[in-house]
Amino acid sequence: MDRDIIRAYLWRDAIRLGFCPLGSKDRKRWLLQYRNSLGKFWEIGEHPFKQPFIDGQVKISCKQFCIDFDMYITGIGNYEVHFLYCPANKQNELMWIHGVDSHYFSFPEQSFLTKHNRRKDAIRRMDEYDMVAVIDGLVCHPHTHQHIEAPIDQHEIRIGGGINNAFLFLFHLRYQLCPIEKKRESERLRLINLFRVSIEGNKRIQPNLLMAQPEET
Amino acid sequence: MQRNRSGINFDLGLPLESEWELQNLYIPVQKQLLSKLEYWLKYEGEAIFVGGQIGSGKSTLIQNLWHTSGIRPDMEFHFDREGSNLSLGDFWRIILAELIKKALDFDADLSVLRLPEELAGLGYQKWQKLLDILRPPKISLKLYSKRKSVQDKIAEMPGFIEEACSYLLKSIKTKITRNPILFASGVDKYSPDSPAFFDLRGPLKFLLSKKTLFELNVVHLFQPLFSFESDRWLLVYTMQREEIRKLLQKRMGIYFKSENKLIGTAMKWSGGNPRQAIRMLMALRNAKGGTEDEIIIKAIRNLFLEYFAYSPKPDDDLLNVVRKQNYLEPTILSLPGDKETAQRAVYGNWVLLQKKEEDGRKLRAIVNPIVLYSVRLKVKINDPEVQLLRRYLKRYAKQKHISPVGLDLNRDIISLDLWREIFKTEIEQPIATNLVEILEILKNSLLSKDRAEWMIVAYRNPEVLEAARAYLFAMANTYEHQSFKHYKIEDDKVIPPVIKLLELLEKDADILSLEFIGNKWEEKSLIEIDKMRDNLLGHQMIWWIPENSLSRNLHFWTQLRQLFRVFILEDELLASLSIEDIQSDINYFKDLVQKKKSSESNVLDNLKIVLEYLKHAKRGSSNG
Repeated sequence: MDRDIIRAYLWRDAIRLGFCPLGSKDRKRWLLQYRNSLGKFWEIGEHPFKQPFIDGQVKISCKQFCIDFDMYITGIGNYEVHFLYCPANKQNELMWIHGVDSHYFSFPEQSFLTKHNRRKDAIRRMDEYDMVAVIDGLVCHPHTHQHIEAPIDQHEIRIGGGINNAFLFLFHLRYQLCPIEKKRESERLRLINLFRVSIEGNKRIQPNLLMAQPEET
Repeated sequence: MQRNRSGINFDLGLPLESEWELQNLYIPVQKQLLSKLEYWLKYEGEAIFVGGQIGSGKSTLIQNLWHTSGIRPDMEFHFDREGSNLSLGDFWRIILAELIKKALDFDADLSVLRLPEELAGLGYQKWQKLLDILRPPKISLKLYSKRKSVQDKIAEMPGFIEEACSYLLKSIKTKITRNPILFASGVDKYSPDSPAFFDLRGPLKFLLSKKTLFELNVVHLFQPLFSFESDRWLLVYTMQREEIRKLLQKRMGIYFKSENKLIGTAMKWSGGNPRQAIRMLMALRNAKGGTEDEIIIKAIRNLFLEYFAYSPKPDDDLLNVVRKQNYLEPTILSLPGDKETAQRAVYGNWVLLQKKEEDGRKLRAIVNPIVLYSVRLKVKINDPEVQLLRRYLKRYAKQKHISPVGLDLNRDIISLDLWREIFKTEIEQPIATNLVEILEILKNSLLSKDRAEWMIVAYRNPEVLEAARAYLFAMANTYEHQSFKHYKIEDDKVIPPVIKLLELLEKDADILSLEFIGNKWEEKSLIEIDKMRDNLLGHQMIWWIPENSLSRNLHFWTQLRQLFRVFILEDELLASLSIEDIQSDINYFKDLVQKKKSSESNVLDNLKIVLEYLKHAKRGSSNG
């Protein structure tokens, strides 16, 4: 089986098992864990949230990069992110809006994979490099990305431009906006391992496990 | 505390303790102090005092001392870790528990003592059980009740407990064959005029004669209790701007570049106080929206509310003087602790001490920049006569080499007559009015209608009390329009004191003065008075109580302890006067008393009594 096909199944499974909370209760649980983990992951000593969660709204204030992210989610594949410029001495000024609208056509990868129907085979054949490539593409180094011009000179920060799952977008922000190199590396290894186990067992990843902190190196 | 290894590390004011914190967040300042402390630790045997203002870095300096020297104190007495509202029994219990623990650890000989039986009714030599009562390993109602009962016994006989503690320490010393190193921490959390500090004096005196490192607020160093040679004092002053910058950069970790501008602003508004710098940076980061100036104003306002809104404000005159002259004289920190003096300003960080001038007579100081921005200081516009008198006062201060700050005039215009009389002689000879000045300050503090606190005046000598009080009352009723009433109250079996007190509260008086007669009041009477806390709230009161019974009273006044401030009359008077000053005052008043009988001569007679007492007391203390 072609390596790209194997990785396509892993890609789809990773999104399904980690970033598709079912129903409003699960979504709230996922967002709550996300909320609790963010300050600690970035080591900023506080919650970076501008307001308590309102259904469908996540507003993150990322002071260290002078950016606020106001996110409005209407479905897993429907959301908008407002990027707001926020230096300490100015009120918010809108930079751009990143929109994902599932009403418009995009490449139907899900249909192809279902029709191809070789998931089991793909999982059996996956090797360690496949999982690394998938986690990098989803979270650590998205294929299509934007670099941000920030006071902290970090070319390593990449905001994924092609992510159409709202929860995956939030999760990749958690990783990308952390400038601590050692932490990024241990988080990458943790995610590779976590998703490999989850995909092999075809089990959903509980939000508390997904948002756990990597071990200190 | 859990720290971020690479990111931001803010906290609300915890000292750095762990090895990681000291290695990664500590700025190596105060190097001289550290090497002096290391020398003391290795070679000296006397007590030493580390003093500084709130948030100046005293605790961190001490933690760093343990870290760099590799030597830990043998015993640590933490007077701030066992809840609030502690009293005499608590303080001795803290010392006793630590000594017993170490005696058991070192397997010291305790055979002479029978404390387990005598304090807690335990079996012979059941020291571990006694320790479990004094310092319960778990929280239980049973242990709490036992501890309370042991504590009551301790409070009843502090002298005996002190002897027992001395024996325990001696046994430990024999075992370890050197002077044990003691560490008294948390004393800095007690304001010098608080009832708790009054109770703490006995336990502290015990530790003063040992090799103890004391952590104090700088104002404690000017208390009579700590009147040691200044080479025993190590003062932690404010930090330099660049040191503050480095500190904030370390606290911001990997994010320091992104907040460089805010770090600069926080540095500017910190006044050199490291804790204030961190809090200012936190406030700036949290103050969102608006222009740069608006953000700074928001942050300052938040910090002012946090630090100063509930802290008693010192007098504007003092702040104005510091603002203009940029210094404080150590002598004015010894003046009575009322609103006119510097103690309140220094204890509450209204004024920040920068360093001692080379001649040792002055402390460089600034008004806290947050205060300077937030409080509109009143500049008094005076008539020419007052200005003239003030000039005389300044000249007098210069002649006597003392600060002009504590020598301000009574604000009431009526008092000018008396001052004018006194100053008539100014041209011929220096004016000897030290005691008058101090009593004036006491009077302003004790007998002002504006004052919101409740005051206990403790005294040792009834004669000096009578004289000082007669003077204060005479001045109060002559120069200020206020109704002031004085009563005696005793532990009467026929009319319980609480009933008498209720009756007195009905009297129409601006200030109610009560003298507690008798040394040992019934426990029941004291507890009943304690329950009257809420009845007292609407009244301004001064209670006069003999010093030797105040500790026992405070033990039963759990509620009242939180309400009152404590003055020790003789200490307040003695701290500011030298023998020469007193003799000079006596000579001066001798001439005046020769005049015919008048109300002034009565006042002067009383002053003479006080002066004679102080002369003897001062001679006694300097000889001893």
